[in-house]
Amino acid sequence: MLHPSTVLRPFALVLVLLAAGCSDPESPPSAPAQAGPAGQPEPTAPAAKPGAPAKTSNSAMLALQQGRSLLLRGDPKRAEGEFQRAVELDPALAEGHFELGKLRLHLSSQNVGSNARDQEVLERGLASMARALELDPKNDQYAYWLGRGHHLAKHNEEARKYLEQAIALNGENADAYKRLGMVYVDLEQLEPARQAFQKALEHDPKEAGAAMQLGQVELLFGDPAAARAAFERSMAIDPTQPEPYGALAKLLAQQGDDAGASEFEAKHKTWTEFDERLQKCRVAVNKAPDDAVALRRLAKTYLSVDKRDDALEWFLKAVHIDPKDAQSHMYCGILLRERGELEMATHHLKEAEFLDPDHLDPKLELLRLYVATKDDAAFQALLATVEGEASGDGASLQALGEVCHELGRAEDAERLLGKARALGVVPGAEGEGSTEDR
Amino acid sequence: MRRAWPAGALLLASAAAGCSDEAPAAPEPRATAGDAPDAAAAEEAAYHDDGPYVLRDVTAEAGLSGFHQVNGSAEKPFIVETVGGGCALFDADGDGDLDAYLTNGGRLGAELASNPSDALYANDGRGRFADASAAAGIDERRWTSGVRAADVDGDGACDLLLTNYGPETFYAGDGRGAFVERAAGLGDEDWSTGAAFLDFDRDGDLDLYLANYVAFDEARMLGEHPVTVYQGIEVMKGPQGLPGAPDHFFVNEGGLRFHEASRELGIVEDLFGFQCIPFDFDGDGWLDVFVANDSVANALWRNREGKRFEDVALRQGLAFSLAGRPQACMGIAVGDFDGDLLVDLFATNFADDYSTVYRGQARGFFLDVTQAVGLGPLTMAELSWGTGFVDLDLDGDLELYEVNGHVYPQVDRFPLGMEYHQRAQLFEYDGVRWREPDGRGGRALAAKRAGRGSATGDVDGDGDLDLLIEDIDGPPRLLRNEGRTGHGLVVELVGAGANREAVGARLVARVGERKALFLVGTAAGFLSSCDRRVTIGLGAAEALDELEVTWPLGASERFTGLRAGTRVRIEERPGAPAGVTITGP
Repeated sequence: MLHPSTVLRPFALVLVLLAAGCSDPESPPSAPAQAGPAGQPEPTAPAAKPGAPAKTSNSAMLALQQGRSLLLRGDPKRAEGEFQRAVELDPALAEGHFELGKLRLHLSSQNVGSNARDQEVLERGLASMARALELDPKNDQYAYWLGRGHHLAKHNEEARKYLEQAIALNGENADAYKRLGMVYVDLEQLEPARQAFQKALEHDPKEAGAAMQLGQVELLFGDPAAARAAFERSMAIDPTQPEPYGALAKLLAQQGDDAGASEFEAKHKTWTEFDERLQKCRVAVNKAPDDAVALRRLAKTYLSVDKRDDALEWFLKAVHIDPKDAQSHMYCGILLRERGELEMATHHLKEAEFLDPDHLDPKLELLRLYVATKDDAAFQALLATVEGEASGDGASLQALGEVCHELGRAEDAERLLGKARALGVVPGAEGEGSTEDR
Repeated sequence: MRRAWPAGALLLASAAAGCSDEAPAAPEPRATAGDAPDAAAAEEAAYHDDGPYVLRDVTAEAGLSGFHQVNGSAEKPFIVETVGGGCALFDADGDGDLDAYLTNGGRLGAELASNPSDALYANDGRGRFADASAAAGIDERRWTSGVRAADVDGDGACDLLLTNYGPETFYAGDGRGAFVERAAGLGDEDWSTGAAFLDFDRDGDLDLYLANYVAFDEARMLGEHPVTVYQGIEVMKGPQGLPGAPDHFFVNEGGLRFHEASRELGIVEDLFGFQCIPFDFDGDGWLDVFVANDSVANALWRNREGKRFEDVALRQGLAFSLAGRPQACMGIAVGDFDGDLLVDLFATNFADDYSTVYRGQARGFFLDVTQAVGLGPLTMAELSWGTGFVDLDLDGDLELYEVNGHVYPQVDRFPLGMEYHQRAQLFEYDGVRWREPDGRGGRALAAKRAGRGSATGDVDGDGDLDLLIEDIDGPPRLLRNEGRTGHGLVVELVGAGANREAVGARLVARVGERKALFLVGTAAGFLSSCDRRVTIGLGAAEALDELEVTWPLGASERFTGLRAGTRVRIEERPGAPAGVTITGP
């Protein structure tokens, strides 16, 4: 069985950590294309491109890996030291410069929701990323991040140059198109901005932020129909963002649809309240990136609105930081099972069961998993064990019976529910309930 | 067996529980921030007196440099010490020129008597001032945020409402320069900031919207010294993280008596209110109120025929920026900058965010067009407060200014790319975009200060508009307009009944094919009072072709042949033509 620390996606998670501290107003960047299914070993860096240095010193690579590991453990300051050491050991290590630059970009801001940055840290980050691109000029991610950094530093012309370079290197880089659109808006060049947001959506149809910003540009062009279509698209992609609802409420009011405006005002309020809760959790994570409980809360917040990919990312981070976090293991198991990544789901659910053997939920989730994997033997064995352990516990037997019923195990269900009734459990009555984390 | 984890649907509430607001460690102090020497010199050189707009600092020669605003300690560990106050230009003594009221702060925890007083400076008619506070009966030692000058009881004399950190103060004026404190029934203990007088129920007298800011528990705050983190630096906490103070609405019972009616009218806002302005955004004849809120959504209170208010800021487009996010709004400028006869608004905002231009659209809708008209990059870096649309060169279109200054003195000690003292800015509109004019408005605007409130008016009687700025922890700035100007005309409206201020009146001035819209009594700016008279730029024209006046209760009249260089007083006479008097050259 693989231990979580060996299977997490280092690069993807590094990005996730950076995104947590990302204070620029748009959505954090998505994980790069080279990140694969959760739980699968991944390349440790953006794929080496032709022209990249072929040889690096082992010590430098070790420092680089150590930095990434520290980042995963929520220690960005020490990670910065390791990345710095990596590039000192091997000044031609493009990946090292890149990681250092990206991390400094993150460290230049500690405030989620604030645009202000520590300019000196930001400039050092830009210098590192520029060096990475100089060493590997065909890496579109390096160009993209350098452009992004310049945009955050309000160097709009430089930002445009590097983002256009990123797009020239990879014409499908939706992040670069989206960022370029934002740069053009800041340069007050609205037609190129419109085109860039359209391209971002063409290459990543799930880019809710690009759709929202396209709608804003359409408003400035005086095209409410196009704006409305863009806002509706943004809502369809990500129904949890409040901004499109607010924009649409105004458009509908302008068109005389008061009922529609009221409906979207109400949705705006709902998702604004959610967003405030989410921001609180993000701030907490940002301030204590090694606090697994904070990470778990953030993951649960995402899960509460069905943002299951985001939730999984943060649950995985939580178990990486605290491998004894049984609850996060369980959620990882459930979410991976839903994705069909059954081997990793099994690992996490077994970890959860092992870490908290008195807890029923991991066992129930394992039973569901065994049905999904068609492992009848494992199912029967676990069922027998749990039934034995819960022999005097009517509520647990009731829950076990209900799961068996759900899984089509009618005979088992009937037996277990009968036992529960014999112990005085009334079907449908509320169980012990959950108190933790409420 | 335990089932303590909610494996199914998660409650939203669970996610936020226990999220802390603790601060990360502060970075090491580094060299003082600021422009690099070469860049600073080049930047400074951009300010000169050869451009089309020249504002010259005449504070000392005008006799105002003896006033010193005190706003708590230098380090500003509490939010009360950061907001500062406004100023007013108004005719306190009935001699026709503009006198100056300067608000003052204090020190937290100090005895009231030890705080410095506000001051009233009397104008000699040529722009020279003398401290007339004692003779006027002004000994105001509460921590004053804002000043609203208006003839509230319609007796022909201007009164003063001071919004304070603590109970506000109402001074009734006698029209000859003396003021007497009156209770007026306002009775609001909260920290009030913006104040807007308006006749919301069309009964002929002026009611009051009072914006309140933070519910500042002084004893607790002084004990706990809470901080927040701004770019890794520990700074004063607020407004986020502190409770907001509820806004209030007071109904005028006649004379100088008010009663509080916020709840019954539906005003239930306890956000961080700053400037508030009355204007009829939807043209239904009932004055509405727009409130600039700090860090949260702005409010636009639609007046439902004098019976209740409802917040429609979101659906009218004034709650947020174009991106749909709240900004930290401070001051508001009101004017029709693009000449379409629809009211436009400009809201000043925090640093690293642009100040926002809301272009008026049909039926009272607004659209943030900042990034389409050039003001995004121009206003991004500054933390802005006082503002106004003004026709400085009297050419018939509006310029725009904003007064700037950071709230955290600590930013000077770290390389954040910003400074505590900042320059005020002037912008001109070329018909498509706003830009900084050649000379940037003159060398005086190169000065960096912690600016806050501001007021415009013709201080020296030369026919153009001058600018008074209230800085914190220092003297004010009187900037006399010495640029090239066209012809101008000053119009003073006097309403019938108790609303002699004619709050809510609209003027449309026509010169040739060109029309310009002006609103009366909008209380624009930041916690300040501008001259209530309207200065209309005519450019090269010798006279206004037509002036259309729509009085607050809807009657409309047209006037022709009003000549440039004059001051005109137009008095509303219900059922009869208005009286027109030329009151000055």
